[in-house]
Amino acid sequence: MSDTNAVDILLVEDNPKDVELTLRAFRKANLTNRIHVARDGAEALDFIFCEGAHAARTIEDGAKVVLLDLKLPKVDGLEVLQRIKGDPRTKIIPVVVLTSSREQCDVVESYQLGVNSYIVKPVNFERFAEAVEHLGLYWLLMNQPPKV
Amino acid sequence: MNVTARPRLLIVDDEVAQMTALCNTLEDQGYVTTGLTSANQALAVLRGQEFDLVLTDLMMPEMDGIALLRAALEMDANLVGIVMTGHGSIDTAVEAMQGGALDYIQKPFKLSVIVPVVARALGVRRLRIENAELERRVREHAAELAAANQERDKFFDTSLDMLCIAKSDGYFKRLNPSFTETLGWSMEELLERPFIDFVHSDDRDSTLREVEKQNLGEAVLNFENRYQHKDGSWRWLSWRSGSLRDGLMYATARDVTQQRQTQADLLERTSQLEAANKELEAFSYSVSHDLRSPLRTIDGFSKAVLEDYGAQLPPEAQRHLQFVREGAQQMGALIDDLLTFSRLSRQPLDRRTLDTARLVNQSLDELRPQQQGRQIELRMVELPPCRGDPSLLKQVWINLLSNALKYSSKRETAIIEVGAVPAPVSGASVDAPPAAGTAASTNHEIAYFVRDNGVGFDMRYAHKLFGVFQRLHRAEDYDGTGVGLAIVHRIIHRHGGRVWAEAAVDRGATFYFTLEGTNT
Repeated sequence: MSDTNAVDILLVEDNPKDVELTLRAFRKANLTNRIHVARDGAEALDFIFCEGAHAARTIEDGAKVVLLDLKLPKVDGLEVLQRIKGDPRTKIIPVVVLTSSREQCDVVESYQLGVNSYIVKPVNFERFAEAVEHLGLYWLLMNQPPKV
Repeated sequence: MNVTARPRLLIVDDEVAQMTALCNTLEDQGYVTTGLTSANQALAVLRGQEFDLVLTDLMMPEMDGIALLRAALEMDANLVGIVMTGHGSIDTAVEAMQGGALDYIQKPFKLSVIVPVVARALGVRRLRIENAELERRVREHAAELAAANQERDKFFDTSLDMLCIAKSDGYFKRLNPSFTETLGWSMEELLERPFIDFVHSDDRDSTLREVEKQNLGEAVLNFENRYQHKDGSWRWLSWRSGSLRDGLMYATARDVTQQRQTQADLLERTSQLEAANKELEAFSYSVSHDLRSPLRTIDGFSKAVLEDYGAQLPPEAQRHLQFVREGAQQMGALIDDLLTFSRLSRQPLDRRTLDTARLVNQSLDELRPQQQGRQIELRMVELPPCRGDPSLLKQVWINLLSNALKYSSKRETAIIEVGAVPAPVSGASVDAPPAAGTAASTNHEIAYFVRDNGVGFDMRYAHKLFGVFQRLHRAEDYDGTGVGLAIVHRIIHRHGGRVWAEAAVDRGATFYFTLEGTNT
């Protein structure tokens, strides 16, 4: 259980530009937490469940919050959400869906699977940055995570 | 012969004294007599007048009584004739009777003989006349019957529907020509085989069941089965049939092959449309997601450049980058609006009774950001409840109120009024604004309105207001995608209502809309 392995935020996002913008927003909001980026659903699951390339990790060192995009290659965002919330070891991890889709079907499905929050990525960067900042502030600083 | 009139007798005897005596005698009996002494005269008179009885002497010069009677009977077959014979020859009397005379009298005559003979003869005359009348009536009746039959037959034969009578032995009894026209078989071909022969094997059981129903007194309504056309193809027939419990079925049929085909086509078209709709949904979903992503990149990184290197860039460059951002954001708004617009026609209408005032207040709440830092005077009168889809109507209010706020943004105090007025039913619409001085019709409906004191617009371009992407103001003066009013128009139309606007340049604008079924 090395401290250097602990991660605060798991960002699951396939679009590299969005990754860069999100990281930039976090920096600007002075949320210089430890962020791990997974580029697709499979990598995200490996990270969370400490399998594959991340077999050396432990679930206790897992992220305090997962920012999850829905449209992902390999394993789809909703499936990742389902796996996280369906497993007793990981279901307490807060998941925030951060996606372009405003479609009601996605929103409803996400909440039914147990998502903690659903945010639509605005095109306008300032609003996007604001959203990310609020997210970070809320989930990392204000919200009381359960002690594992 | 008029039964109450006095019988007219024609008396012919070449012996004047006899003739006169007869006339007088018979006149005393109440008859009208005409006496003549020659057969030729008698014929001449007969041609001009009608008589009931001819009393004639047999032996006369020129023409004898038999010839006279024959000729007279030719003129009127119902005439009765009595011959008088003085020379006692029974043979001639018999000959006369064979020639058409009814009776004979022997001369010299006695009153006690003549009177009953004449009376009897006139009785026969009456009977003959009545007979003739009866026969005439029978003929008339028969003619009427024939005409009625003819009319019925014409109807039967010219009917475009197939009409038929079928027997309990399974054969047709009678068919109209429509059968041949529809099925191609000749009348003989249809009559010589049991009708079930023509029915599709899959439909035979059900057809026989329908026949059974009629035997039990039930009528058959809209039963469909397939009959084979002579060319081998199958025609769908729709039957109505009943039985009068006389062992016969009386039926009409229609060829519904075309209708069934059309229905099948319609079902297929509908399912194609549903499939296309689903595809469109999926397409829109994909489009909205995938189009927004690059826009975010454009906006985000332009901002990044401005933030990180702005100081090193000349103001012009900064301005241009700002334009890049605005372009991306505008496109994002457009995508959102277009998606909403396209979804509106597909979304099912959930019609409920709504508290209009509450809907308006909810819309105003959502528009709070637009109202920040501004002087806004809102006037709202009592709004009657309406019937419609809550989420769609909220969109209408949001769009109209947002416009009102937007276009009055340059006023120191924006005055926005929300209310409802009666509007004549066959009144204005976006396609036909109200004519000046429209006469008040008896039927009114409620028109809700939103009025602002903003920049207004030129009524000459009012017809363009509700078109997609149509704008009446410059983008740099008032931003917008030009889809908002098109969305309003689409929603109101789906509710069966009308929407229109009145405005003047720089004098504000009022937008009205009605919903179907909002009657005062």
